[in-house]
Amino acid sequence: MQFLNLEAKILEILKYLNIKNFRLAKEYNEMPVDIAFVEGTPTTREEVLKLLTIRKESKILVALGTCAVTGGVPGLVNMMAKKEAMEVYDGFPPDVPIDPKPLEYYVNVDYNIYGCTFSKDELIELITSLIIGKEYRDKEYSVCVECSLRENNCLLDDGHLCLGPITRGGCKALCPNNGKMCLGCRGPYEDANIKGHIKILQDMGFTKDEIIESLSLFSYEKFKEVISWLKEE
Amino acid sequence: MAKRRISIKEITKIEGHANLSVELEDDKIRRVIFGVHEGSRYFEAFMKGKNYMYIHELAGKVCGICTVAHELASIKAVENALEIEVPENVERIREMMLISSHIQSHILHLYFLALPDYVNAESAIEMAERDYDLVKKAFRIKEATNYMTALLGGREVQPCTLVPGGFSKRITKDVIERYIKKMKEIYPLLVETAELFSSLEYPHFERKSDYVSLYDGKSIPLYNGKIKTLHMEFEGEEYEKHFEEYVVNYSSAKRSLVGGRDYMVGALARLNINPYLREEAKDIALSYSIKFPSDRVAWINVAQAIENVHYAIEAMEIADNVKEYEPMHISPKNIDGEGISAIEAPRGLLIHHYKFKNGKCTYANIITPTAMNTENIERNLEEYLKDIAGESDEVIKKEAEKIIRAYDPCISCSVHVIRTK
Repeated sequence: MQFLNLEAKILEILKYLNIKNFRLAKEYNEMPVDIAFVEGTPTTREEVLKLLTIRKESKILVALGTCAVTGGVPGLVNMMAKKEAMEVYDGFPPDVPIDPKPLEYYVNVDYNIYGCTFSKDELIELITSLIIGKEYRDKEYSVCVECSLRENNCLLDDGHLCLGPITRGGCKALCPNNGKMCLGCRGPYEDANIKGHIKILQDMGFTKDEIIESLSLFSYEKFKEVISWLKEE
Repeated sequence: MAKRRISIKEITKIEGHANLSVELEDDKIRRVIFGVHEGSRYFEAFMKGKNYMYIHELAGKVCGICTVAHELASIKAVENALEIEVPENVERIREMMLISSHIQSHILHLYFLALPDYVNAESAIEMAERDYDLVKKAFRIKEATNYMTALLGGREVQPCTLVPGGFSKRITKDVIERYIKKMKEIYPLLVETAELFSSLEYPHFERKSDYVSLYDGKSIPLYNGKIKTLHMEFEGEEYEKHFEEYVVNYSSAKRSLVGGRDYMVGALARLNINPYLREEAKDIALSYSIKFPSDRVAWINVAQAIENVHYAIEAMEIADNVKEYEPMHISPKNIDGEGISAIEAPRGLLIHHYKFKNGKCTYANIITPTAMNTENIERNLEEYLKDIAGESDEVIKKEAEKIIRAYDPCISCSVHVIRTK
């Protein structure tokens, strides 16, 4: 969906790439393809099989957006007892539920485009890099870096439970720019000092539960270990 | 007896995954099944236990298209539950945000999902090969309306500026003026779009069913109002009394009836319930001999294009009277409570319902427009296909898809709301 928000840029992209398969916008859809963009993450067996097929029939697989990269908001259900979650469906969900996981749990992922919603700029950057054969690299620095560059007031200083210091940059600190603390929608970057940040948040007076709630919102699967460490600490 | 079965495994050009199966015997329709086969989602489950300030952030993720509507419905229910005061100015700014996101959603549906059916193209990509300027125009409106939403919401999808009671950022006069300027810029394109979609040849099929929309007796409300059907009027808070919900075994979305009748929500329902279209919009429709109320299902498309013009004027008027907004710290009066909200999402009525204890959510229920429309889609398909049952499989498929697409169903939205009593 967000792909269509590239708007007129899609018309530019079409000069270099053919869109072979896009069920949302096309009647006739074909495989195999050179590049497959997968948004979301499987929650049924059927969808897992579909993902495996897509992997087999594409040269490059891109995980598009937080659900695909970290399991995202739907991954919150993985923290709950299955029985309790299934009460939404009166104990009888329409199909055997599968825990939302990052796509990389099932298949080899070539590139990740982070964020909920993902950054259109980064998607364009990746597509351009692929077209001209340039290397595309993940941003291994925090949202804090981009936030400081914009000389924003530090939301931690203002007492907010901000995840900026451990969250992967690339969003140009969109939420802090708008006065909203970083909720961590892009997940942690490679060398993030997660335990260090938890210590800071605890010193600020946030409880374990509040910190766990915040960490899990978008990336439970990525913070799982540190969350169980924190619970026992 | 000649039996045949027509099935579409995955209906294209709609949001999410749905299938259609039509069983015929001697060119008579035996059964029509519109099934939703999206995996289960558990929003109402994992919202439980979450702090009230995160609820609308999570709600926004229910949908990729109408994130603005979900966030607004959610935050409004949270504010109702915890008695958080919302200044009128804030409500007006939120309405502006809702309008630009409505227009964006309609444009996406009209040009990219619906129009290919009427110009014999398989997709907008093919349309672009034939008429580049037309697709470019659609993108221009989409881009402009996304820009307007982002002005107020920080970004066009999943706005990040909403906080209970207001916004997290300043909304300056300059921002409001840029919003108005952009809307003025695309207004002629919205008129052209309304003319284009009023001029298309749609299926003639009509069927009397009920319509449900917000109602305030003077406008076509999106953010505040009672719920009105052709037969009754009630407050949003009373939704549980009037909507009967049930499940069918072949679909993962809940169905619903109102007063025992199937009903439609969305643009056509809004215009059928609220005879308050602005003259500028009404005149376009009239010049193509189109009048509302109407039972012609495929005119949902026309209704969307026409209401775009109506709401564009409305938004400019609201914006003219909006004051600057300065963020302030708001804390809830209560940390316990129950709240319900009903607003109009692009696809129709949207209800969010929460309960809180100690500021944490203990109950959540979300009823989306597509879940409300599903029964109506199926019944209308059955009636329409009766008329054309003698046609070839290809024609039946194509016509069925036209009807389904007219509703602009958002399947992913509809599946997490399967709760039976």
